[in-house]
Amino acid sequence: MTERPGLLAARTGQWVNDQALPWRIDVDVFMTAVSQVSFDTITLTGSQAYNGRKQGSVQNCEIGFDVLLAAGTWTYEHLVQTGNSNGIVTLQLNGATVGTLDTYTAGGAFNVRQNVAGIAVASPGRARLRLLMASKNGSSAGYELDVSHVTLRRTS
Amino acid sequence: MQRPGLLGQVAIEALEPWLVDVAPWGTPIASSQTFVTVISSLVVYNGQTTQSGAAVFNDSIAWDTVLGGGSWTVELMHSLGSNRPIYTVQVGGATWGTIDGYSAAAGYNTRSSIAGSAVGAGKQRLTLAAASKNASSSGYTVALQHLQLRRTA
Repeated sequence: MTERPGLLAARTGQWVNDQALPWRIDVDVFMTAVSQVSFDTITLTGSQAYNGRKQGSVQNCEIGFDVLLAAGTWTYEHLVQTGNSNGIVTLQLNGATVGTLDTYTAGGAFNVRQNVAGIAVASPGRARLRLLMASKNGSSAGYELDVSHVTLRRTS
Repeated sequence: MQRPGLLGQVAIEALEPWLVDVAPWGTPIASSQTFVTVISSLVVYNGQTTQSGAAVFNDSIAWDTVLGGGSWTVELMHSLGSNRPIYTVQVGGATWGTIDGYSAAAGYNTRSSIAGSAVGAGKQRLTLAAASKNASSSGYTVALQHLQLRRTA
């Protein structure tokens, strides 16, 4: 194949520099997810950004989004409501676990940002980002996840 | 093969998106009249986009998007009401289907989708037009919260 760096003139057989692929991806969680299990309830809350949250509340509830990722290193971040019945969410890319985030707090809080940094993506293309509520803190009363937004940032 | 660039190169198909979100708050690329954001604590995002002036037949609003070649689903989150139109959804000038915004009772955060339409890669204009209405509806008042395009194949 003839190399054509930086060109966007044609689709098939052309090559482009993957610096042009996105460095930031915002995922709207309120619309219908490409995949979900017991995770499609929209709840309004005036205390949370976006005026609401999407909620799952049973063990192994999950929600998935298809995103276009460049090869490189990524940081996952979500905006959640924490609480005493919230669980530990497992983050997966194409079925591989890349980190976990504990959304339990005894007192509860709104607009909490949590992240997993250093997620390595070996090759560019479509990836299924999956949030799986697989476990919980020993002190938590449940497996709830209350998410208002998800962002992926490429760092290198 | 030479691999210039910090991270090498990828096939151009990899540049084509699978998920495109359109927040209706900003200025659209085209519209029949001025559309404004109305705050509402009853809806996620805390607001909805509607006409600034009198809502009339064939009012429309449009955004330009870049889509990958393939099949796409378009989804609209909107507020139902007794004065809503039937939205005609067009992508690249082709009508993909209609979504009825009418409901005798108010409804919020309603998601309605049109699945499985094929599109070529590149810039495509997404247009919603109040081109008809339910016989029971009293008007053409648009109430949009969010739009999303998802590639399915």
